[in-house]
Order: sequence, then structure tokens, then C-alpha cells
Amino acid sequence: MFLSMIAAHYLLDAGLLPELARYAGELVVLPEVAEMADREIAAGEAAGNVRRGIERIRLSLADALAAGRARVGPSRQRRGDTDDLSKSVRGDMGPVVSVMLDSGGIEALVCDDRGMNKYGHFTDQDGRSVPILTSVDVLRILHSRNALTDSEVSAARERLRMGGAGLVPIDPEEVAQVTIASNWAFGPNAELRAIRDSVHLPLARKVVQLPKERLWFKMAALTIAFAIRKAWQEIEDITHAERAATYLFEMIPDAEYWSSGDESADRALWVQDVSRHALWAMASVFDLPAERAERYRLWFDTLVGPIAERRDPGAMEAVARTLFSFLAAPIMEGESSDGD
Amino acid sequence: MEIDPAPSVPPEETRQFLRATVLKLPGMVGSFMLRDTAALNRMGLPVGDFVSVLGQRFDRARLLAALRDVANGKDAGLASEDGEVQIDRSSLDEDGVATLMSGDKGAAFANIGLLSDDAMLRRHVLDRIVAKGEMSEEREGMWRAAIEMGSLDDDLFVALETESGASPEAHFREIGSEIASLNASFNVLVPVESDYYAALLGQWPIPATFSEFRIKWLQAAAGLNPARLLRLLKLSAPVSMASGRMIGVASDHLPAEDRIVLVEFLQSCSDPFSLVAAFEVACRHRTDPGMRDLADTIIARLYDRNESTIDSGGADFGAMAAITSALAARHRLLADWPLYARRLARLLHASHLVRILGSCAVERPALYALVNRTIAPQARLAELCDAREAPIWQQHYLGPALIHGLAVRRASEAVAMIKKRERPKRWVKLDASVIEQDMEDGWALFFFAAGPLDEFDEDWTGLPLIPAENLEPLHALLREGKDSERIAEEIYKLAIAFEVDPADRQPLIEGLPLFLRRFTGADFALCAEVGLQIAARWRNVAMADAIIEVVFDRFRNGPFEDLGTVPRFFMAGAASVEGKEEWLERAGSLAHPFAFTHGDGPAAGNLVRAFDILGEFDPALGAALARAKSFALLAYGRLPKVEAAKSGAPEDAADQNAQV
Repeated sequence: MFLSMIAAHYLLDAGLLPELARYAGELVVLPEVAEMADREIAAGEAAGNVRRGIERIRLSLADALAAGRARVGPSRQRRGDTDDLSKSVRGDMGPVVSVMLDSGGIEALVCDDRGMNKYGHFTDQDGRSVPILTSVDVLRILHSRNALTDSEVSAARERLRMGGAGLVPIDPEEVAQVTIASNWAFGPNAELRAIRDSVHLPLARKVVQLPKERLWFKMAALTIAFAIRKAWQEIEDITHAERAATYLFEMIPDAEYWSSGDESADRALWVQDVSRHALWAMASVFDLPAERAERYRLWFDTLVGPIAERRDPGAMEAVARTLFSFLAAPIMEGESSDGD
Repeated sequence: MEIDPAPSVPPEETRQFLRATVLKLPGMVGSFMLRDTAALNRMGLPVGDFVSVLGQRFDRARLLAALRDVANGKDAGLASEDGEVQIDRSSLDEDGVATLMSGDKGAAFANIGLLSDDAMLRRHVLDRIVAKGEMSEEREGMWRAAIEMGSLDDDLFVALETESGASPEAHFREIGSEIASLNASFNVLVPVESDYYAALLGQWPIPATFSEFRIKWLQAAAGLNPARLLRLLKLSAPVSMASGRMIGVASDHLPAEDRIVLVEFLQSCSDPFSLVAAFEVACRHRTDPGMRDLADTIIARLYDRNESTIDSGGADFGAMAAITSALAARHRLLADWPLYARRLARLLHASHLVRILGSCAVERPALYALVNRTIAPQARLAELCDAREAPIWQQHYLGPALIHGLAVRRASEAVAMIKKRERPKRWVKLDASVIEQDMEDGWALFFFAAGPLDEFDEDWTGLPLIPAENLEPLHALLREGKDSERIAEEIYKLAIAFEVDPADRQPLIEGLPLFLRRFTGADFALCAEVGLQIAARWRNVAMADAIIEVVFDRFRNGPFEDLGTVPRFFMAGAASVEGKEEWLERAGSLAHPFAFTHGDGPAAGNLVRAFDILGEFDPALGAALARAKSFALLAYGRLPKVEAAKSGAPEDAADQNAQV
């Protein structure tokens, strides 16, 4: 006897399934049925999580409203506003469009939609300019006001990355820390992998638009390059330091490749700027003990230098020039001498 | 780079800091600083133009003044920059070579006679330089005019030495000396100056087509004096890998005694195509005194597949071609040359490396193992990039069997030029018996394979066509799908040496991808690659797509034996289109699903490196693959075990510096 899914449900609901099983002697559940049931259970649990999340937000919001910590902004056009833009958007005006039409006195709009926050600010109908921040900016502000500690900010950033937030700015110190904290006998730790994902996932998804996102791109490249310095300086085991440096080197996004569709007149200069700065960061480690310095020099002269020189024949000389100027400059009191 | 002395830091302290620091920087950065006068001043290091002699630094101007004194019969009063080495004796021989001695150590300097006030000596020294044939007629005229005006001044002498040092022969000497002193890395073996490769080809500018090149080369050869022609023929002899007997034809313009010199030289070389060239000349000029005996000896060697020039030379040639191709591609050397010229230049260089290797004690098994492990996969990718333009030649088969096949074919062609009744019977008999024996031994496949330049040759009629009636058994095998081994063998033969008429291809186009599913392990990878090669040759995108689909299905669902082959699949799959833009788009779209689906582990790291290397070959390809590389990186989190990886640097980069 083959029971369809619906028949099985009816019999189960009527409490007859155990009877039937006793009569038939054996109840066989096909693997596909078990798999489907597992999927349904998992989907049900996920939906439950989402529902609970929404409920939590609603409760927090209700509490905040009741306590006067949150307020509802103008959600529709004010009487008397008749310009064409307002008319055209009135029918399906969402909260973000509403706030852009009438900022209602807010100091900043926090919006993680790249389509919006790439502009940095907006001007509402009253001519009021309002900065647009991202979740990461909120973390930065809370940190600067001592509402979050260093480790709390790092943990929050990591959660944001794990949650799939793209173009999350990378803090050089954070990359250095997670690089040093990784066990390079195996590879990068979860935090560094999350940082890697936050750089390469938006790239792979083609979310990054150049030239608009040049600043983010350059920061990502330079931050990783500076983490390479730290790897050589601070990872105790030389072999591990070298493995970390190589892994990070491969992680640096290539400005030339990714900007190939950018038709800006200054594209070549920008590519050179990014690649030479990154090269400078990798080429300027000079405070290592002898054995480590030897290994670092070999690593650079074998892996990094030849590729850089082939792609940009003047790069090495330019880096040498800048580096020598830096080294020969007088050191002021209290200043670091390692080029950071 | 001029830095004012810092007022707050004592100058000596700054100098010491800079001197110590520059030594800790990467060599590629520090060396720029140590070449810069302003930087040297700032570091308090001696500034000047120094040369290294007897392991010490000597001021170049003082050294040249001392050598000028020696050229004019005076003593060389000279000391090293730090005063530690004093030159206590000096001499000049009749060929203008000066020797400086310090105790029991000495250093010889060639061509110093050009600094002499004695016009006869200067002429004699220049005659010796010219006799090598390395200097062009135009440059010879200029240098003769210069020495007639008096001894060369320092600048002119240095210019002449620089000019001589840029010749291919100077590069060979340098490579040989690096190998002998155990300092040769793969990088050292491949010069990166395009002038060097142009000199090997003996043509500038590079003609647009191979046929044009052949005509111009022969015209240029006919206009050279014997010394220069002899030198050109020695240098370009391995061009005999192409049909057309260029070396034999050009040797018509040599005096008979020089032809003997040429043939004796070429047959003493350890590269196989010089031996082929030697036979071309000897066969064509078999009536020259002594030439017939030479031809007899050479043809016997050429037809003997166990002969060291064919067997060991063939293996060396395969390895050297892989090194040259990979490094030339990574340096984007000759990227703007037509593909035939790039290919010819690389293989000529590889031939010269084989010659050099022949006189050096290099442990071959270790060398081959290193090449196969590191640089051969890169050469294969470079080859697949070229397959878009020219999909027939398959360099990865270069080895004794293919070399033997090509050598026999070229020798047969040379013999075929002799009127039938005049052909030496021994040669004809040898040809027939060797071919018969090779057929019996299963060595005959490569007799029919394309040579490296065949597909650029307007006279080439293509690979031998399989008659329709002979194809029917293969079609039947595919339909039945039972005898995997036999089918694999037939497809392999087809990919290497035979062609199918377009009207008869459909059963293979449809049957091969279906049949591929039956294979497992290395057989699967081999048949898939071979199938993609055939699809590229036939410019059949649908066939390539069908094969890639099977490969991807296996890749995703397993078992997939060698993840290292993944880049070869998407590059071979991309080669089925000819246009560059289409190719780039196709490479990106085929690579993407493999990278997206790739699992973690060292293989993901290798895939990342393959993307980087492909980007080095061609930045446009790098851009097309950038997205796929990001996907591969997202999967890459588990590094190889520390014990297995002596160095964190990827093998491809590290092993460019591997010792030969």
C-alpha cells in the first residue's frame, strides 16, 4: 500500500496511522519523503526565526515610541506640495522616499542600500541637506562616543559581514589583528575569511561600481597590503608569516582588472596609484631581524616584485624613490618609524 | 631623490641608519637606491661608476685608463677602490687581449687593442670581432671609420662592448656560465629583450606572415657575406623544424669549405633540429667534397630514434620549450608579434638552450621533474591561449616521439628533392625500413602530426584526411559505446595527427560528449581535453559546450580526479572561438561556474594562481576572469599542510627561481 503525502497527513490527523502500521506490520518512509519533511521542518524553523525577529523589532520599536526615544516621521507629502516629483512618487512612496522628500528634522539617514548611500547625503524638499550613513558608520560613531568598545566594534563588524553586508569598510588594524590571530598552519580564521568575503563577494556579484566606488576599492587593497607588513612583523613563526603574506597578497583585488570597464580619462592613473601604494606597503618592511628579513626579501623578490615590475615597469623605481625619501626624512619625537 | 641633510639628526647616524636599512629591503627596491647618486651621497657611500674585477670594486674610468696604458705597452698602475687589491703585472697578447694580474689571480679583457695607438693592432682586433659574423655590415663600416681616426675613447669602447654583449651569442655565453656556476634559475634561461629574439629570427621588422618571413629571410641571407651568412645559419639552423629547407637553400651562397664547417658544427650540436639542418645542407650539397660521407652519417643518426640528439635532445627540447613558452608568456614578450613569429622565436631559443644544456652537467631526471611539476602546466595554459588563433599545434607533445617523427619527415622531404634515379639507395632503404619498424613499434603516429609552423604555412594542406570508409568503424564504436579503450585510442590519434572531412564530423560531434561520460579518472580528463582540442580545431562551439557540460557535471558531482586540470578545461573550451572579444567573454563564462562551485583546500589556491597567471599572459584575460577569481578566493580558506609547503610562495613564482 502506498500512501500519498496527503493521505498520510489525513490518517495521521485521524490517529489511524499507528493502527494501520500495526495491521500492515511495517511502515516504510522513503528517503525522498524524509528529505522533503526535513526541508519543510527547516523552512518552518527559519520562518519562525524571521517571525520572532520581526516581533522583536516591533516590540523594540513600540517601547522606543512609548518612551519617546523614537518617533514616526512624515510618511506622506505635506499639504500644498505640488511639484511633479511629489506627484509621480506619491502612489508608491516607501519610507526612504518619504524621508528624502521630507527629512522631518532627522540628523542623518542610515541606509545600507548602495544605490542610496553612495551619494553620501541628500537634500530634501525644504533644501535641508542630510548625511546618509551606513550601519558601519553607526558603529564608528558609537565607538567614537565610547558607547562600544574596540572589541565590541570588531565583533559587530564581523556580524555585519557574516550577515552579508557588502562594501563594509575594512579597518587596517582589524585586518592585521585577525591575520595575526589566525593559525597559519591551516589558513585564515573565520574573521579573516569574513573580511575576505566582504571584499570579494561584492566584487564577484558585480555590486562594486567603478569609478564611483574607487575609495572603497583603494582602501580594501591598501588595507590588505598593510596587513601583509604586519604579518611579517608580528607572526612569530616565519613560515606562517610567509603563508599569511602570500594568502593576503592573493586577496588584494586587482585595480586594473576590475576597472577594465571604467572609461574615465584618469583610469590608468588611478590604477597606478592603487597598485603602487599597495606595492609600497609591501615593499617597505625594514625592521625585521636578520633571518626573517632574508625570508621576507626572498618572498618579495620572488613573488611580488617580478609581477609588479612586469605590469608597471616604473613601479619599483617609484616605490624606491618614495621609500628612500621617507627613510631619509628626519624622525620627529613620538613618531613611528615603520612607515605605518 | 635629493634629501637635504636633516638638521635634527646627526648626519652619521642617518647614514648608518640608511645603510643598514637599505640592506634589509627587498633586493628589487634596494638596488634602485644603490644605483642612485643622490641616495648614495645621502648614505655616505662612494659615488661613481664601478666595475667588479677580481671580486673587488674598481673605478671604471681608472680601469679603462690602465687598460689603455697596457694597450700602449705601459704598466697598469691600478688599485681597487678600497686599495686592498693592487694590480702588479699586466700584459697584452697579439689579438689585443689584456691581462691584469694581482698575485696569482688574473683577469682578461678582450678587444683592448682597440684602445691602442697602433692602427694595425686596432684593425686586427676589429677584424677578429667582424669574423665572428655577429656585427652587421652597417655597424662594421661605422666601427672601421672610428678606429681609423685613432684609438677608441672610453665611451666608444664601452659602446662597442655593449653592442657585442647584446648579441644572441653573448646571451648564450652568459646562460652557459650561469648554468656552469650553478646559478641558473628558470628566469635566467629566458632573456626578456625582444631584440634578442629578433636577432634569432634574423629579421626586423617582423613580416606579417610566415610565407613572407621565409621569402625575406632567404633574400636577406643571399645578401650576406660568407662570415655573416655562416653565423646566421648557425644561429637560425633550428628553423629546419619548418618545412621549406630554408637552411639548405640559404647554404647555396656559402663557399663549399664553409658549408663543411657549417655541417660539422650543426651535427655537433645537441639540439635535434640543428641535426636536421645539417642534413638539409649535406643532402643538398652532397656532391661537395666530403659532404656525402657527412650526409650518410647524419641521416643514420636522424632516423635512429635512440640516437641521443633525438632521444635525450628531444626530451631536453620539450622541457626547454615549456620553460621558454611559460616565461615568455608571463613577461608578455613579443606580444605584438604575429603568432608564427612568437612561436618560432620561442622554439629557436629553446633549441639554443638545448645546445647549451648539451655541454653542461645538469641532472636531467631532476630537471624534468621540476619542469613538469612547476612550469609545464603554465606552458600548457600559454599554449591554450594561443590555440584561439592557431589550434592545431600542440606543444605539450614535444618530446622524443614527436621530434623523431618531424626529423624523419624533414629528412624525407630533403631526400625527395633529389631526382628519383639519383637518390642514394641506402637512404631510400633506410627511410622505408625505419618507417616500417616504427609502424610496427607503435611510433608512427607522430609522422603525421603537425609541425609547429605548419598551420602558418600557405603550402600546408592540413593533417591527413581519414577517408569516410575508415571512419565508419569509429562511428560504429561510438554508437555501441562498449570498447572504451579503443575509442579513446582513436580519438587520441585524431587529435594529434588526422583530420575528418566537415561532412563526416557530425557523428563524432554528437557521439564524443555522450561517450565521455563512460570514462573515469585520468582517462576521463585526457579524453575530455582531447575532445576540446578537436572542438577548437573544428571551431565547433556546440561540441565544446557539450563536452564542458559533461566535465562540469563530473566536477560538481564527482569523482573528479585532478582538480589541477580545471583551468585547462575552461581555456580549451574557450579556444573554440577565434575572435578575441568572444574568446574573452567565453573564457570568463566557462571559468565562472567552476570557480563558483569549487570546494575549499589547496586546489582552490591553485585555481586562484592559475587565474593570476592567465592575467599575466594577457591583462584583458585577467579582467575577463577577475570575477571567477573572486569566486575561487571565496572558496579558498584551507592552505596546504605546512610540511608539504616549504615556502608560502606559490610554486609557479617560486620555481621561476628554482635552480637548474
